[in-house]
Amino acid sequence: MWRACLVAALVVSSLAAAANPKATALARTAEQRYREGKLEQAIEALTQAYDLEPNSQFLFNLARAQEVAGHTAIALETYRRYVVLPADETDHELVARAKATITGRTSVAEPATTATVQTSKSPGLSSKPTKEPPASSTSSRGSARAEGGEPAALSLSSGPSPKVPGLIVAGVAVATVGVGVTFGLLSSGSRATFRTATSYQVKRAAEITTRQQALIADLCIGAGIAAAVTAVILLARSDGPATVALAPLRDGALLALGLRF
Amino acid sequence: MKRAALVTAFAALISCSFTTASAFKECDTDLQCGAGSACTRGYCLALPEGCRQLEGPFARVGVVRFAVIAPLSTQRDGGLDALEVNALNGLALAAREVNGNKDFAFALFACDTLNDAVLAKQQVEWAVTEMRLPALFTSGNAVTLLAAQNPQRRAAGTLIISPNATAESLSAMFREDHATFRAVPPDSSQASVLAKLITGDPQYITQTRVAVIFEDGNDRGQFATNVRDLLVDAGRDARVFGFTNPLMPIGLVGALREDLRPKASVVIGSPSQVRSLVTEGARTPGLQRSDGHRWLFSSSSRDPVTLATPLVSAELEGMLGVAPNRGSGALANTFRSRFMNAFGAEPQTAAAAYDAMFLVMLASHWGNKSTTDLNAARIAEGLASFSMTSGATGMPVQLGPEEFSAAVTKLSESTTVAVEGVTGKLQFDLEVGAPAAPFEVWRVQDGGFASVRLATP
Repeated sequence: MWRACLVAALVVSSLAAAANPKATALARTAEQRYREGKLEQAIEALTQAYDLEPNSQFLFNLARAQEVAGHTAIALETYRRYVVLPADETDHELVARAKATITGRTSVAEPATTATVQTSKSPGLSSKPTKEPPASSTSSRGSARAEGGEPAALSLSSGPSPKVPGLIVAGVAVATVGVGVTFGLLSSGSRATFRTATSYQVKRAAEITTRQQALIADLCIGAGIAAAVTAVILLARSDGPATVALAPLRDGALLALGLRF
Repeated sequence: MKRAALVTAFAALISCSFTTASAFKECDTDLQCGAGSACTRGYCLALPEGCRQLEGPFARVGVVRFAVIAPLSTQRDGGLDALEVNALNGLALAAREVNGNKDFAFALFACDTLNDAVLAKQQVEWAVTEMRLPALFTSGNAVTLLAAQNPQRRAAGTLIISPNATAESLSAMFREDHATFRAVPPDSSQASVLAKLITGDPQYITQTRVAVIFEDGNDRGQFATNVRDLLVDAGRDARVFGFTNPLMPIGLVGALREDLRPKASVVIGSPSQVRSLVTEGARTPGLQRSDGHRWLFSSSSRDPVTLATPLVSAELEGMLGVAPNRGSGALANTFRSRFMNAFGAEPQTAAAAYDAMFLVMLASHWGNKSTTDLNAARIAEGLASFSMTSGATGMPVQLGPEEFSAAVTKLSESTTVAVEGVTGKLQFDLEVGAPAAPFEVWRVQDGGFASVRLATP
């Protein structure tokens, strides 16, 4: 709720600061379309707005919309255009974040700066005038990662739901507990063998097997519980954003998988 | 709610899992395992078929345990062999008398082989491999040979002592493993006594044609050959005849009549077969008592089963046999009294069993004086310390409940002791693993057996 209020305040303030009324109207339309998930229309409106009035804020928002819409390469190019604008036309924080997005070092931990596909709670577009201090900043979700500040070749946005990490961890928890239960049952079987054995060697072997299987069962169930707790926490916080990013490393030989929540 | 259920389920699983991984130590004593099981290295193991806890403080930690493996039953679902039970009681009495006398406790498992060699093998391997018992008491040549030759027993080095096995090959086994003992002299000694009776007793001395008849198996062939050789050396026309249990010896009797027409026959065989042979002989001209034919028996025939029919009993009246000494004198008399008080029966084969058990308990004390890890080798070393070279004298030790503590003390003071048991002097001949003791000469008398005298080989 507080994020929505903050963004709304930013939008109002930025619109108020816009010089061209048509550009301002287009910016509003873009905001509305963005909220509705109509990203292509939002991009179109922002492009037109920026054409009418080359406000750096429009350019930044355009980059955000392009990024969220999955036009990664274009979005990066737009970010690059933003960061090379004169310093007095841009917000230094937004520039920093744009650069971070470009270089893959972006941090989107701050709830207010995080845009999600579910835009009803977080529009994620800034309409703050260029010269005003940034009351908020945006950062990319699913930004590309690259070494040494070089632009990443590929950046993928996150999946469709912020619950994915929680669900993944929950799945891991279920699987781990399943393995633990399986070994627990095997251990019980070995224990039964131990009880009925009439030979010392068989008893000894059954004891060792039972201990090993029980240990595996205990470890798996313990790990499963930990994973389950983690999943519960993640799912409880799933109204917040989550990010899964896949990007090639600098030399392109390896892929990096990042999970952030 | 769902989370609570989930957590509860996890907790249950964890507790189950931890439960299965603990409490593997089941016992410290046999009693904790119940009557049908035994405790070994912390585990309860079911006793094999035919085995049970017989005598001793099975509830005590650190008790020294032995097993008796004997054909107590004549067959599966058959009746008990009275002489085997008698010997078993002799073992039990010795353990009972010694337990509580010192801080050493002995317990006995009893295993009935049911006259089944497969079962006997299982029992031996259970005692050796599963229980790691330091010593086994085996009854009869068949069981003793089976145990002595068992690879697992040989690998473990488990000590064997038999109160009645006389098979000649056991002597060779003793020389090889130094762990196969007997409380009675071997067949070679018995053969000597039998030959001396044929050549010296008035009843047989005039008989020049002598048949030496043996039942196949358990070294009896070697025993018979030894007797024949001694008789041939003494100038007798002696020949060996074998027969196979359980075939009735009709063919044998025919061969005797046609080939040798013996005037005396030495019989080495089991009681039931001997009875059949004598029955057939009593119907055969030339082999009848009235024809002057005489029978002479080895130790295995000293069994009421041999005389179970009036015809055989009458035919054999006054004839002789040889057996390990069952005891005489003061020690034997007090033993008889104690045995009868305990079991309400005359000790027959019990004396040798009592001596065997007592010897092993003494040797265990000897073996345990310098190590807490009693094992077969230490017991064997103790038994060997009861040996004496010919003509030497050792510190006298008598076997009995009152003498145990004194015997232990004497053992600790002397490298050799002169042990006298119920059956007589028990110094071991370390060439054969058996005492060089005299034999009892017995006679069939009034449908039973009477001791005549002792005879040295």
